[in-house]
Amino acid sequence: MPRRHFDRLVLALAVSSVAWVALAWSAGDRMRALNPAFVAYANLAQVLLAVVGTWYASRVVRQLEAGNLARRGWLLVAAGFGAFAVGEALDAYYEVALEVNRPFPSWADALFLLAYASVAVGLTVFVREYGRSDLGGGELRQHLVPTAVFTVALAPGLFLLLRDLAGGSGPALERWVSASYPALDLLVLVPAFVLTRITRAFRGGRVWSVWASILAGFALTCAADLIFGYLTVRGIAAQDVLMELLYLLSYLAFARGAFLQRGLVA
Amino acid sequence: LDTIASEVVLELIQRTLTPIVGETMSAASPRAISRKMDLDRAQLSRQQAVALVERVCQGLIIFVGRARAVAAQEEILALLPGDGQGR
Repeated sequence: MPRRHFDRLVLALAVSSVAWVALAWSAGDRMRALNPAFVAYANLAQVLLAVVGTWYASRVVRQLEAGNLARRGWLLVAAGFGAFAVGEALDAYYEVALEVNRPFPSWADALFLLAYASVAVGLTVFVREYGRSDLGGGELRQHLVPTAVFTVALAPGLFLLLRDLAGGSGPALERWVSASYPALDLLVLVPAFVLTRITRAFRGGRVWSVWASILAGFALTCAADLIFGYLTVRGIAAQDVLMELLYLLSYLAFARGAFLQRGLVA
Repeated sequence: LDTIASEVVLELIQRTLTPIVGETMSAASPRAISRKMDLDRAQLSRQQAVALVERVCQGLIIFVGRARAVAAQEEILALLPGDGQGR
C-alpha cells in the first residue's frame, strides 16, 4: 500500500475515533460501560492495528540482513507488538463476544506486561546501537544528564501511584499487576526518551517519521496506563472511553511507525 | 592528481540523504565524519571522496538496512564529478 493511502487511513481512523469520544463526552457519556458500541469498535480496532503493527515489524526483521545491529531491536519490538495483539484479542473476546469486563488480572495482563518488557529491551537495543553509530551522534554520554533529570522528574508521581496501587485493599496479585503497568511504563519511557533525543536530529527525514510515530505510540500508551492506574486507585478501572481511545491511537501510531520502517528497508 | 572540492562531495551526500535522515543530519553528519577521517580540507582525491561516501553510508545501514544504504551510496558515487570536474 502506498504511504499516502496508509496515512489517509490512519488520519481517518484517528479523527473518527477522537470525534466519537468527543461526542460521547459532550453527551456526558464518558464511562464506556454506557457506550457499548464504542467499546466494540475500540477493541476490534486495537486488535487489528496491533496485528498490522506486528506484521510490518516482522517484515522489517525479515528484510534487514543478518548481522544488522538493529535487527534484534526490531525483533523485540515485533514480539512486543505480537504480545499486545494476542492480549488485545483476549480482551476483545471478553468485552465484545462475552460482553463482560475481562477478569483482572488475566492472561491478557501477562501478555501486556511481557510486551512492555520486550519493547523496553528492544528500545534499549536501539539506544545502544543508534547512539554509537556515526549518524546517531556516536556519544551516549551526552544523553546521561537529561535522562537522569527526566527519570527523577517522573519518580515522585510514579512513586505515589505505585504506593496507592500496591498498597490498596484488593488481592495481592491484583495490586501488584496494577502496579506493574506504571513501573513498566517507566522502563519503556526511559529508553524512549533517549531515543527521542537521538532521532530528533533526523527531523524532516523518513527515519524521524518512523520514530516519531513509534515513540508517540508509547507516550499515548503511558498516558492510557496512567488513567488506568488512577481509575484503579479510585476503584472504577476499565470504564473509561478516553483510556480506550488513547490505547487505540497508540496502536495506530505503532502500526504507522512499523509500516514506514518497512517502506524504508524494502 | 585529480581532486574534487570537498564541498561538492558534501553537497551531493546531503542532497541524497536529506529525504532519509533529514536536512540537519545530512548536513552535519558527513562533516563530522570527514573530521573524524581527517578529511576536512578543501580538496579531496577521488579515493578520499569515495571513502567518505562509503563511511557515511556505512552509518546509514543500521537505520535503513544494507540494501537501502548501498543504493544511496551508489547514487552518490554515480554523481561524483569525474576527471577534471568539480575542482
